[in-house]
Amino acid sequence: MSSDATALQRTPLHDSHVRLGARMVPFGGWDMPVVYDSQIAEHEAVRAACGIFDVSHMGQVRFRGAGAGEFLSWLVPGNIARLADGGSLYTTLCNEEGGVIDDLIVSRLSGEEYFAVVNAATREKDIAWMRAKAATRAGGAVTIEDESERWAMIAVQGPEALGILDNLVPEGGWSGTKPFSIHSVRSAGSDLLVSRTGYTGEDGVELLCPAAGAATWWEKLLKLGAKPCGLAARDSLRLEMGYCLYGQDLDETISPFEGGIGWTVSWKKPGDYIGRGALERQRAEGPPRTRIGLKLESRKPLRHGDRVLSDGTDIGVVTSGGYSPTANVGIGLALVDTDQAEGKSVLEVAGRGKPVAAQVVKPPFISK
Amino acid sequence: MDAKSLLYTSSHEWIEPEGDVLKIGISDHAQHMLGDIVFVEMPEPGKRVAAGDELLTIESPKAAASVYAPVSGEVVEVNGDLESSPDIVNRSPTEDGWIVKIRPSDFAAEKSALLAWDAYSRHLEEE
Repeated sequence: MSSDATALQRTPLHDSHVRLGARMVPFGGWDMPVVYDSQIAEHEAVRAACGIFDVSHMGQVRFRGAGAGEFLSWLVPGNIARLADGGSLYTTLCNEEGGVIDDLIVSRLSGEEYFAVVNAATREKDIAWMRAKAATRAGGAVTIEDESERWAMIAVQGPEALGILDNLVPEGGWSGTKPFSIHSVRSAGSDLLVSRTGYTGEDGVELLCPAAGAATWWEKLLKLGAKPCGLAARDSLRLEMGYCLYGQDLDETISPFEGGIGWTVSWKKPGDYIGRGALERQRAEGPPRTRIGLKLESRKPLRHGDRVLSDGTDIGVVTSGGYSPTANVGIGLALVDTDQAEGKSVLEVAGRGKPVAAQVVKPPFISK
Repeated sequence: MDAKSLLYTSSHEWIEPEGDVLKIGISDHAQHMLGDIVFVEMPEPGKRVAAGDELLTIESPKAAASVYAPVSGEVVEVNGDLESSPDIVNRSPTEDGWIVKIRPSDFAAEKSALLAWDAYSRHLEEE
């Protein structure tokens, strides 16, 4: 990541953020809004009403061709063949060792056309991996297009999100759509993709609109009463749900089982896929490390990098930590030694200040 | 107390003499930079500190900041209201959001190192 502000990329909504008085920070090579006014107020707006996030830094990839579905089935451990047209799936790109190259959402637009949304910092690595893998497949009836420059993406999240979207995009009837579905719609002269996905645990969508007209959609959402929210609130919202952040909770040395997303690995799907051997071995033997949730009794935020101790022995590390505005306590995700954490209901966290006792819990940290 | 009547440090603590003790807090600038304050890790009353020692930690969701002892002395009281409502520091940094009281051991000598409002304001502009 560059610390040189001039080298940072800007989303199509950058001017809007500056005008709203956002504090801008470098994130994955992009100049992004971390907070507009108050992180906690933004967090609470998403839990109670509707917040909007600029997530245009994320990458979009389109797969076309008669072999696209088969290729994706081999590329990821998720059950792509189960998707109907307009269906979406949360899955991972795994390497041969079962480590996670990225986590992503794959959607089936039609039998010969699929669409994926990947993380900003991993986009180039992901696309290089996808293309290299496609080149080794016989037939090669798939083309891979990086559409990241073409799209802006606005996450519209919260209990009022679908109602606001009904006003914004009246062609939809959005309250009747299912989570993990994607819809192509033409509205106000723009070709949109409306994806019923998010990273907050609330109802809502991720609205993909052409980069050139993105500011108009953003301004319309503000007028409809949505609160602009920064990356800080996005992080505390996803952490309350126990969702992984790539680069902290998942990386190329962490398998989906260790990362707590073993449920994304399909055992029913036919045929081979990259990493299958390693993942089957780990499933049989049990993962050497396990992801757990930690919850404090106080408001002290846990921090990425805090050590996790059991009876004085270091057994792992907090991969994501923070404060839960909803539960009003410090929370975190940790990666710990499976054997040493077995059966433990209370562990100790050592970071800044005094070590604290933490309850071991299964995320999410809040009841939804 | 009017923020302009307080004494300050270049590390953004403020000091207000109150009888034979000093009330300590963080400046409005400091609370603004930290954002929503969610936790204050207090020292134990009775703790002895030298000027410049880390006195306590203030945490927002994204950052933790050290508060340094502006003077040498003994912590005699902490603001218990901040345990359940640390956001008082955001709302009222120089009044209800005071953090600790210190009985100074050498205030006459150490006072000269503190900044009056004008000097602190200039420091903020330079920072």
